Amino acid sequence: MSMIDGRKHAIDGLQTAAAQVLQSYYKAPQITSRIKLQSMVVTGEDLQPMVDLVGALEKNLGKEGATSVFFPIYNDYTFYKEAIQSGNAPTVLVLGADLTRSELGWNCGACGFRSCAEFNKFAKESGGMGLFGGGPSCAWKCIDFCIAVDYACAAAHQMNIENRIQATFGAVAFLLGYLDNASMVLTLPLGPVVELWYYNRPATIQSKVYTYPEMVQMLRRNYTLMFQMFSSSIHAPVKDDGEWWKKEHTERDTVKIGHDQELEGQMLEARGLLMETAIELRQKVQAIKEKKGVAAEAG
Amino acid sequence: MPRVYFNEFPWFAPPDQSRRENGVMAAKLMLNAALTAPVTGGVDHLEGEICWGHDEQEAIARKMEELAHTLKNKRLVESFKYEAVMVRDADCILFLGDYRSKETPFDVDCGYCNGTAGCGFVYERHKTAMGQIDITDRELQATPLDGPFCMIRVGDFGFSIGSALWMAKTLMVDCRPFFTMGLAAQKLGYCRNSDIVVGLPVATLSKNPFVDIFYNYHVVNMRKLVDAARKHYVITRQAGPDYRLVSLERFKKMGQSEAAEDSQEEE
Repeated sequence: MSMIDGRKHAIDGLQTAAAQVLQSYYKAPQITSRIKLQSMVVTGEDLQPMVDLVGALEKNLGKEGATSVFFPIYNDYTFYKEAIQSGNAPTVLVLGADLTRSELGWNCGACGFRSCAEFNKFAKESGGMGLFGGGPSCAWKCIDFCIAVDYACAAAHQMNIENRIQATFGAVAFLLGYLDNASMVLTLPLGPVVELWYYNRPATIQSKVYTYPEMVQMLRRNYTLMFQMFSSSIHAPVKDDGEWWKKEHTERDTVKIGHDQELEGQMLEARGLLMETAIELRQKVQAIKEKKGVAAEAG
Repeated sequence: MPRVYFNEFPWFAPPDQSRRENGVMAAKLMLNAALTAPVTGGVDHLEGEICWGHDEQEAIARKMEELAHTLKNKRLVESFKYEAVMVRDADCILFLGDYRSKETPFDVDCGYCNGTAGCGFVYERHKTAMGQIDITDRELQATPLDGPFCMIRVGDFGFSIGSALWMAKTLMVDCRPFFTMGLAAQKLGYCRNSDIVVGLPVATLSKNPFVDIFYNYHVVNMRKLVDAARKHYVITRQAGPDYRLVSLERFKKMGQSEAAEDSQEEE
């Protein structure tokens, strides 16, 4: 007989749940039936390189610099950081596949090439990389991979485990090489064991991601039309929170479109540091994989 | 109280139609599940259409058989032909389409389409004006689908298909996703705003009609076998006397006496 702390037991059980979620992932129906799904279960200290990558940006460039790479990555970083700090770390499923090869021969054109052969040739010779992953991608393999990912999400949802599918930390896992040879990588954290961690976003309050005035500024920048005054004016003023009508015309904000050199410098610095740190941390991740005896091409 | 009788055979007879209506209900719930799937940024991207009825399903099947030859793609001939049979066997087909893959890329420099900055890989391969992709112009289209598409949108489409399939699984109805059905339906005007369409046939039959498919399924399948039985049966029955002239009892005896006469002759 024993007495066990319930929350701790639930957190420990996330790894068992991960197995069931992955069974659903690998058993998902497919359109091509030719995709090789990969996955890795990452827990505890092995999560740290992912958090450290964004943490390095924050440490060196501050919040503004860290958010300039891609704000949702910073947002999700706070979710991981706060969960780990509160002893309620999620079990993270790193899911991925190589979508840059096609043996289908359907020649459908969804990838932008006239044939699968042209697609394969281009991918081999000129394939590129963006913020989240590599390309070009076979659309049907992309659909199949995402059907499988959706099955993983649905399995977690049916077990009522807090989860969120993320391209953000998928990009982080991609950069750090958690999976080899995967061109698209997504992360599916299971837990923390609380209600709506990813949708109520308590971590953003703990990490002070945005103050209220900053949120208002973001809304005004992104939804300018909603705040805009008489729209036929060449320089339409933009309404503000509070008693904006009491401001003189000359004091009101207006929209101006132009090249932002300051922002460009900030982004270049942040992306440079991101890549630099990623190269360093990749070695750590490789060392972990070797130590744990995880196959180079897990899956 | 009204009585509703269900039987999966004969096809399209009232008891079968009653059963098919339930398949349509399942397809409707699958559509709702598809809408609730995870989606990047929570942005709407999905449309759906259900095809139900003998003539409607036949039109899709015939289009697929046409595409088997007109696409001139040897790798797809079998798929189009075999899967056309499945369209006829299904209770109904749910078509899901994504209307953002071509027209409104996610614009996030993700790299999945190729990694060119500013999603340029997609934009430079379509006609554009004022930073927008002109979907009315299909001049550059040389393939069945007018790519390249935004792979984030395509991935979202995959999530939606996954949730529809999960709902089918939960409701214990048989379903599989098909490229061929989607393409045929798209050409017939289903999901008309979408650049990529997938067909999800739904069946509630004793045998799942979307698995265990043998080669040449388009010529050897249940419909053809039933047709063969009908064809041969009507020929075979046109032998022997009519029951009104010779009763069964008398006919049986006639056979026996003839057999007895034969045996006597041999002796």
